[in-house]
Amino acid sequence: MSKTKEVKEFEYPPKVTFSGVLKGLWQTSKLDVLFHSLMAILLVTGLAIDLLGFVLGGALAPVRQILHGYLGAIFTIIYPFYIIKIFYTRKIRMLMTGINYLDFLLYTVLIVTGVTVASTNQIWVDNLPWLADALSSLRQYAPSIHTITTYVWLLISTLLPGGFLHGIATIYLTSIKGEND
Amino acid sequence: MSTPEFLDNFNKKQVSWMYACSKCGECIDECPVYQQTSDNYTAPGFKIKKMRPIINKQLLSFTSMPSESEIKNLTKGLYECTLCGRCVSVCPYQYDLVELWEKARESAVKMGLEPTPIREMMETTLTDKNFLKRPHERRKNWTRRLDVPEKEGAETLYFVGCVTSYTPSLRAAAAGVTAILNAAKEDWAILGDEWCCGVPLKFGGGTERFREFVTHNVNLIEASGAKKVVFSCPGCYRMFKQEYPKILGRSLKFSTLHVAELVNEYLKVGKLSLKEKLDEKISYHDPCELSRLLGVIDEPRKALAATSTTLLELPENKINTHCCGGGGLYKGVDTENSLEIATKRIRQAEAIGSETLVSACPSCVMNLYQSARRANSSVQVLDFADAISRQIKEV
Repeated sequence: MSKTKEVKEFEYPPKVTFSGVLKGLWQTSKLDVLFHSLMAILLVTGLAIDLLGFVLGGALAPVRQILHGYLGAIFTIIYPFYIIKIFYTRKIRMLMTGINYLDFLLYTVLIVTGVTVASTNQIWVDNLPWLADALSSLRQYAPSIHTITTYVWLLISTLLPGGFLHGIATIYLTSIKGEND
Repeated sequence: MSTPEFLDNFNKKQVSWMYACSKCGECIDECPVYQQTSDNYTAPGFKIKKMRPIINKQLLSFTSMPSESEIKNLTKGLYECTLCGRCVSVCPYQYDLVELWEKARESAVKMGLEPTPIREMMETTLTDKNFLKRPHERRKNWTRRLDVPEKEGAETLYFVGCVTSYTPSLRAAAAGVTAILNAAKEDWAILGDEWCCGVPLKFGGGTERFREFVTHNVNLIEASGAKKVVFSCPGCYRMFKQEYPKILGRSLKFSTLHVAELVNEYLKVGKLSLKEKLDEKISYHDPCELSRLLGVIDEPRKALAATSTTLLELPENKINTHCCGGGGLYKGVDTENSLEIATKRIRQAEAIGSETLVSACPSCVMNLYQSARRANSSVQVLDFADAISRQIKEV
């Protein structure tokens, strides 16, 4: 018999709470917590930069550079580990759908174009000439691809059961109290 | 097959559970049926994956439906489940998958997709008021040669349940409850016309007529003026405690408790005296519905600890109990694997050196007993009430 998970507390019928979801996420996988948190921050800050940029202009520089930029860099670093974990875990692979794989493809596009945008005129890229070469042809189109891909991801994930709908469903469940909401 | 209507009975909350599922797979590792069969369609998360496109189709007509064979496999998988609730308890987000499976089975019945043994069980429940294809008039046969009162106005009623009423090998369980109630000098009786609690309809998906059973039993009990109803079957107990009030839209006018809770109470107040402890290694198998879904965990242990010098703990116990394979009508659709799951439990009992394995559920006792015999195990399987009644001190 396989090793079993020991639950410390449980009450039936269970209640879905926001803290419970966070706790569950944390207990299941710290990598997932990091991945999901960063993804949410990057989405919100990305939309803010795109939608509010023409109004707030330079005031958004810290958001662009620190929140979106540096956190994006962390996301880029952890993403391969996340993908490896998914592809190496049979039970998770069993549950993945075509939309999930499309999500991963879109994340990859976002990462590549994001790194391209971030590498423009940055000193660190001088130390990685191979990367600068690889990204040079993309530089002109990267910002547009990055933005368009975000909206494509949002559209697909909203219309089909992708990440965005998953997030909305979770938030809805943590907000309801009644039996038949 | 007109499939877009399949699963159209989910409410917003249940639909959200399916989309909110993070695909962590925790439920897959822990499902007793999937552990046994390795069939993807028995894995809880996989079933959600296969159900989601059907919901998508209802919400967004341009999306594609699963194939007919996938739907058939999914329906089969919905019934290849013991409804033990292990998937709910390990779900990091606490989505009520037991409710989800029950609702999905309801939809399967509406589409006529339920397996034949399930359909037969539900039909016989409706006609004979029990799911075991036994004549209703023989329901009280177990009372022969026992001091079982059947009278009006008793303070306590014993709701026996179908499995205990009709299974000859479980007569000792009903006789045990009788002995306990008599020894405690309880003012008790059985119902004149007890019907099945309705669990086969609820679990099978035939909930449309579940209400008839609820109202019959509740009306009869409330008219009798009983203040307390005792159960030896956790399935019946859970129906009364969790489902009946939902169906009726009100709380019941009597309290409900399992015989393990009652015995524990009797021992506490001294209404029941037990003989000297047996020098026997016993262990207790937590029935899923009683421990995980109803939270009755310590009471049977305390009572059993008063009967034996050595009460051993099985691995996977209390809320983490491993299903015996006999719940959720699973045995009706896959008897072989149901018994194999029980055999694992028997082997666990053997491994800890248990001589007697006690459980407080007639279905668990039946399944464990049958698998112990099949596996030529020396472990004796006993019902909780039977085990307690053997130790009652005559006064």
